[in-house]
Amino acid sequence: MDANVIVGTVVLAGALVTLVGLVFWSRQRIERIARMEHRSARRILKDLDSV
Amino acid sequence: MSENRTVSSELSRDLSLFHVTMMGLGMMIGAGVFVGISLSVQGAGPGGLLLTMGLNGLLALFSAMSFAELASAIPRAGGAYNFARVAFGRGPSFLAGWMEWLASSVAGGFYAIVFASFTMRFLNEAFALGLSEAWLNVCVRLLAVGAAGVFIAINYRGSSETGKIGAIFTVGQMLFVLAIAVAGIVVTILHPERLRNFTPFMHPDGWVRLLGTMGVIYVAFEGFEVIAQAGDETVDPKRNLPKAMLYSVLVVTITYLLVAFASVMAITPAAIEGEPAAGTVRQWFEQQGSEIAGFAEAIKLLMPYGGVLVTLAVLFSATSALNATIYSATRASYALGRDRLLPGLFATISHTRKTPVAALGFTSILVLAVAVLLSPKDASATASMTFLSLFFVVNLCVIRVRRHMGDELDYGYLMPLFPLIPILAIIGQVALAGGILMESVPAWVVAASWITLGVGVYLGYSRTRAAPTAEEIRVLEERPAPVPVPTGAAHRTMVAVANPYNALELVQTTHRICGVRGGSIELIHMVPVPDQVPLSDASRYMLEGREGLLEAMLSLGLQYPVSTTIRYCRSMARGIVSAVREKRIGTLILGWHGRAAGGLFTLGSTVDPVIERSPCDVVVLKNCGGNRVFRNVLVPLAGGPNGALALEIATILADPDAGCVTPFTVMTGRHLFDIEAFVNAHADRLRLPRQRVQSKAVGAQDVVAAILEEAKDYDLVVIGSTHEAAVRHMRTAPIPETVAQRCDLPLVMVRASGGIRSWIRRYV
Repeated sequence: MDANVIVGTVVLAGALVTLVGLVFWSRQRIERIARMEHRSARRILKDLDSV
Repeated sequence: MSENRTVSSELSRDLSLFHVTMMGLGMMIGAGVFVGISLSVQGAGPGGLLLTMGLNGLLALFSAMSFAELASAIPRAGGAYNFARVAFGRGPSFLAGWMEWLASSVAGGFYAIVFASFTMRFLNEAFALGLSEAWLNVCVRLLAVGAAGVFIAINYRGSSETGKIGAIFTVGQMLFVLAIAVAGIVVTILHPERLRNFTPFMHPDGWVRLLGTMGVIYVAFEGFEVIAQAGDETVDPKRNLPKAMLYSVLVVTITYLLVAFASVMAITPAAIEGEPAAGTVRQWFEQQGSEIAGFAEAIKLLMPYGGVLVTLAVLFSATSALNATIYSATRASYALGRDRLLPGLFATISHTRKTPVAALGFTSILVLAVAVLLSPKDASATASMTFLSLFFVVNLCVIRVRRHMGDELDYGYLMPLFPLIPILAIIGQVALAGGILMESVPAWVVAASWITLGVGVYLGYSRTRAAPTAEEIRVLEERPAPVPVPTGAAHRTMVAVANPYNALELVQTTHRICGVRGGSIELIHMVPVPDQVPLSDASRYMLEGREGLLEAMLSLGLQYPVSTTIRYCRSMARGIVSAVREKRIGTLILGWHGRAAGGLFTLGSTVDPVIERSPCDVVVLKNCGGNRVFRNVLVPLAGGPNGALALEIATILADPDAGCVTPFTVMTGRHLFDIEAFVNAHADRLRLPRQRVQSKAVGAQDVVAAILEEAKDYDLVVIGSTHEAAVRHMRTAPIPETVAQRCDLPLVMVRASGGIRSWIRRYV
């Protein structure tokens, strides 16, 4: 099999998994941040870090 | 009075998550990809087509995450323009808005051309009109102008109609695109042998061509930008804007991959054999007449009535994208006008329709010019080039805003893996811009010309007319040194003075450090004006600071060139860091009251950010006032990057005649640290004879307790601050900061500059 096919498939699969993972990770963050009362970057990072 | 009157610019807030997501999808899905598929197969091969879609989607997501974070914190109309203004100030923000205006306008013209090309080709074949290529081109241009005109009129009707009409068109095009995707899956099940269409996987020139095709069709992944523009009109923007951006990129990437896959699977062996010069799918696409015709021909092979279906799909998709880009470009130029970076005419809002009518008019000129003058490929590459430039700026903005204003803004979304994501996006964008150069030189020429024109407009018009905004740092009073300050490499020391008492505490240390390092002194006082007090009353809050500056001047002015400045900023830390950067300060000296801040901060809401962000050596003094003589100075060390500076400052502050400095370390057994070797390695920085610097090591498990116990026998403690990122020590304060809080003695905390981090901090 052409090496390009193997490399290309791995790269494409990796890109898709990363893409979907980042979107759902971000969505989870948005919902958690929406429930926070104070939302400065430092406060959010502390609250996210403490869970 | 009329000079002070500002343009009223209220927009109605009635776009939901569905509307703004559809707005982004409408701009992305369709016209760009229909053209992009043909260009990508020819440029990169069938496998390269799939990689182009997948990798562009990931790269677009990185930028979308930056847009999402910024839009959630700064949800106003203007998008990238606003982000750049908050992050970098007027000049870069004008250029961002200027590029955004062109990018969206060019994209609008591009979509008009695509719509007209597909429609006229279909009509020419369906009704056997027999138009020659020349007449076909004339008809395409006329139809493109007509289509653009229709959507200019729709945008004139108002944003709500724009969002709702866009949503209807987008739903329609999604149905057509899904039909193509489903047909592709069916063909794969019925004819698995056609998977051989992906052989050879890549273009013979290999992976290099991939960058070029990714760059040219990147415009097809642009659309979340429109969502950022809708900040003033979206319900619950802090939550809905970031979600809409991320969802639209996810949906669009998966859809593109399915359609791209279907397009390749559609080609039958008979079709390839029917083209004499075609042996592969890539060559078959090259044989289909114009550079954008391959996709339509492939879909004709894929399903019955494929030609009609494609024409309808393009009709829906190109028009909705055209609608969204006109909307985006209009908002970009409106924001420039609103802040008087372009003539106030751009901010004029129609009394009847509540839309920015003049901005729409100027945008229309650009859209129509592109529709008449540029080829589809050059229009696509030009739009991609300007969007890449714009996103480059936005990815810098998100780093800068989080670092410098993160404590002040109210975020709805913070991206994970910061700052890796924007850094990867920047690297990818630079690579794609290089790829575009291989494919379309006119794209670079147009983009560079527009940016040059923008710089000219800014310098010639905007710079002196821009409206001030509340977020800006303002210089209230500035006095240069009475004697000329040495320029060039001369060391500059800045002293942040709060009041007369604080000034007296700082002068002795400043005097000693400057005595060794030389150079000039800049005294700065940040005016703490409460938010509810108008800035015009700031002078009432300047008295203490002015007295403090005077005290410091009296003590230091005889020996050193001293200049003073009084500034206002909403955040004192940001104001100080900004002044450090602007005046290229080498050492910053400030005082600390010595009380533990608790909560989010270790030393305080001003000291912590100043230590974290200043691109220079920072010296923080606690209880060091008066004419104290420090005979015994303790320097706790653990091998961190700030230890050498701590050692240097300790030897500067120790009594030059009889002072002794003790480098001290606590051996916990967790890591080996040779303190004697460390001192010897930095012997050139010692300002005392080497025999008066005697190191000491003790064994203990509680490092803080051991340092505090040892400190009882000393006059002064000099300690380097932690070098960990702020986020890493939010749960528990790090050792140096804990020592600083608990130590009752005079204490100096230092943070050294240097390395790539400080260089980046100075500019980003």
